[in-house]
Amino acid sequence: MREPGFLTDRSTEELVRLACSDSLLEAAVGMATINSLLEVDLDGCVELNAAELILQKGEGRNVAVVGHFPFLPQVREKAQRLWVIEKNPQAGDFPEAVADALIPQADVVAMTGTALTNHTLEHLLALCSPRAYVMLLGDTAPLSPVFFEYGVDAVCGTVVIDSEMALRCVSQGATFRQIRGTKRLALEKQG
Amino acid sequence: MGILDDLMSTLDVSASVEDIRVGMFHTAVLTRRCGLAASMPRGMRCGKIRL
Repeated sequence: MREPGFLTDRSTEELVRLACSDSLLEAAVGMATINSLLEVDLDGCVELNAAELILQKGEGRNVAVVGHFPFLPQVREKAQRLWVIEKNPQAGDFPEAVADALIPQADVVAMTGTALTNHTLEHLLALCSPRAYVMLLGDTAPLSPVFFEYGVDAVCGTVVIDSEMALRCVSQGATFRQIRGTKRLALEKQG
Repeated sequence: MGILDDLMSTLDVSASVEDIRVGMFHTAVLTRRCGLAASMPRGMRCGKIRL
């Protein structure tokens, strides 16, 4: 991170541009800034978490998930096949090297929003079959319809409803499941 | 124009930066509202990972 301790002195625009940084720490600050500025169409969103949507869309189908999410055991029970592609694979996961071979075979593809932070999203989207149902998910995923122009069918993200609580949780090391003051929403492409 | 550029073009950046927290698992930025992103492991750089 460049200039830690002085980031709040920078303009919002500068922080937004950090999303393009090669430093993942800086890029995460950029993505969080984008999410802080995004005008989320709350009326267009439904209160639905990513697990529910994957289970709904993936039942009896081939599902590829990029990133090891906590809800995967439920998906494994319902999907015909589940390929979990992970940089640091756990038992039953596939290494990132096989993403190019597996993702094109999937009927449902769910990818972590951190693919924006590490600048791999466009490559991953290009691997998806045109017939696949594609989801972007996680706290990083911006609830924006912009992704629908790039082949994404649904974004499952987070809005903060209690900033003070969320900031405190972040500072105290909350995990995805522990963070409070947030609401999980899904924005789905219509038509 | 890439996805990030398209996304950025939709933002109204006329807000001040009130707070920034970089935690072990999350990063939070408070401007008009509070935004979150997953924190990424220290020392990793783009281009050295594919996913």
